[in-house]
Amino acid sequence: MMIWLNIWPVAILAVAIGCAVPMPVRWLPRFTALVAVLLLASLFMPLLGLFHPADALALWFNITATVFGAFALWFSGPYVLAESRLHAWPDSRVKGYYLGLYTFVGSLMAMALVANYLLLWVSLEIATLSSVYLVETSGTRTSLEAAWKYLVITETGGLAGLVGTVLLLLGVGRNLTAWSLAPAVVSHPLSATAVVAGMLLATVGYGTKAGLAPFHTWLPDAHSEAPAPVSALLSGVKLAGAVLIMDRLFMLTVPVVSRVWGQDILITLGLLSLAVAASFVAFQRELKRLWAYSSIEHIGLIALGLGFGGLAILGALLHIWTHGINKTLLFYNAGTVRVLHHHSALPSSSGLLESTPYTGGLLALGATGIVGLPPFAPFWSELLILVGGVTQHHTVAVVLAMVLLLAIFGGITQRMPQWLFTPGRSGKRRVTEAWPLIIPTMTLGVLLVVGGLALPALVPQTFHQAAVILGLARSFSH
Amino acid sequence: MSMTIWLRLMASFIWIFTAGSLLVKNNRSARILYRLDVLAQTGLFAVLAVLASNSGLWVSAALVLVVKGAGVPGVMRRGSYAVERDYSAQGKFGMSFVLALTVALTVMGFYLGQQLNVRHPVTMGILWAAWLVGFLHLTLRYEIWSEAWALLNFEIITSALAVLLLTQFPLVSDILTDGVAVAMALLLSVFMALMRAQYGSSDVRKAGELQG
Repeated sequence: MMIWLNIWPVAILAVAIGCAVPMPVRWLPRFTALVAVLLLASLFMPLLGLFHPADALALWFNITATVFGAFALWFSGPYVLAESRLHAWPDSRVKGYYLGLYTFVGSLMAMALVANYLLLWVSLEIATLSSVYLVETSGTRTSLEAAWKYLVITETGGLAGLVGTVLLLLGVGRNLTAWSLAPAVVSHPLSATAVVAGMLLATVGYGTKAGLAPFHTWLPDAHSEAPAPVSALLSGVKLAGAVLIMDRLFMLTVPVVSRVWGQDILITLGLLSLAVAASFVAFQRELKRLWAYSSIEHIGLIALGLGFGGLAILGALLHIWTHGINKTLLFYNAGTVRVLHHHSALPSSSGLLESTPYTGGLLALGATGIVGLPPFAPFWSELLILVGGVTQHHTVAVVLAMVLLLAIFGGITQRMPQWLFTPGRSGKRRVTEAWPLIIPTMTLGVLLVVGGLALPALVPQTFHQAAVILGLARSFSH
Repeated sequence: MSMTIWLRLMASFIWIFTAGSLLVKNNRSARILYRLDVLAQTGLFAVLAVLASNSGLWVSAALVLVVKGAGVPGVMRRGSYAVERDYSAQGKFGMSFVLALTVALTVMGFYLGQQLNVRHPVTMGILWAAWLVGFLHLTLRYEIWSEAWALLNFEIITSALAVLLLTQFPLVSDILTDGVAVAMALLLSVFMALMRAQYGSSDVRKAGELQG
């Protein structure tokens, strides 16, 4: 009964899959909207005692997965309608898309709610396989290549992650059937070699799933080729979920190896990811690919925050939410640009502010937020991560991170005017913007300004307890 | 022969079939080697079930036989027709180099098996050696079918390693893990057919590099 209370919202998606299979395709957009409403309603069930996630971190990440999952279901209605008209998608492809999306959203929620490490691995695998399928849904040559690359690289990593998880759990003497993610006190002698080997393999496995450098090579292709709602979920939820599982596993190793090991791994991967993003971001001429490299940057920042410890953990948790809002806005916006202009690459998609002012304006807003400028939500979380790093005496890493962040800032701000304005004489024809595509992105724009900080204010205890699970209290006591 | 020797023998079969699939030149041979690998994994689980007096492992062995022995090759056949007669390896390195690497990785595997301080260190070493060779396969061969079978073989070795480490995998996780293998095979098979149709070649490098 307790387990059911922990995870039942995932069943909404399972039932939705069962209902959608025999349903006529023309009903699916409205049915999907109903599913989105039910998912959002499930977030209020803890208040009635009808839903009780295993711990505060599970609740925090479930809020993120559910909100962005609901957004993806909402945006998919108008987006898939436009895509299917534009590229003559057959009904079977549209239905396949919705079934794949329900599976993907359900597995992301399972990554938050399941309280067993082996089942967490299974949830992450289901998220990977369903998103591989979704990446290929557009049926183009490039999407097929991206899906193949995504499948082979992340599954190789995923299998390394399984051995790593087993070795690590075995090394710390943990019961594999236990329905709990909390570190347990163990009485048996522990194998440090198994734990270290497990940590390394888990780093490869979950690092690949998270798109952290140097395991990121699948990410720019998959993010740029996936349909916009899927790119947003991949970037905003799946990558962060994989990093959180990795950090939870590292927390288990503390009785056997120093916590510093796990922290150093996270800091190294975080800095490497920032370096990769800084090296490539300025050269991108395709909008979704630009935001894909930006995702590598931000997952690197989240890893840095978790690695720094202390205040930076609060920053990392907040950044999962603020980056999710901002990147979802930008991927929906890039999807809208593709639908309205049939491509999102330079130079043909330049002058967006003139031809499609709402879309161009939202791009300007999202880009300003994602580079970390105040007063937008990502600024505050990035500030917490960097200040947290300094207070935890990781000054060199913070300085390096700031230099790389400045390079990324320069890369994006140098590129962005090329999309927003037209060089030389203006003569762009005005393109009609469909409101169903604009409203979800506008809502995210409002959240970017006010909602990024509102969530911790709404659930302060959950926010604080989630950070304590990731070692907040321990960092301060040291 | 003692049960421990049988256990080592089954692990050795997994290593042999893994190294074999690294060398074969067509899709049909790769499929046969995969099936042999499945039989060796089933044998390993059966011996482990007797050794550990663990009846749950018989269920795992039966699942492996049904899901991977029949299900996965059946699913893969769907995409395999497109590459049945293709061989397009254009590697810079000869097979002797690949074999030299295989020997080096095997030695490393044995060393790792000894270092972990767990039960059955020799069997563990053989499986680690197979795991490393399987990983090498994924990085050295570029044909669509070869990569697909390499990934499925890698899954077999990984799950064998996980079960040997734990002596028993929890049943629900075991069933779900087997489900992941089938889903992976399904996607691989569909993509194999689509890629062959798109490029008229079974070499993934013909697809060229994606932009960026």
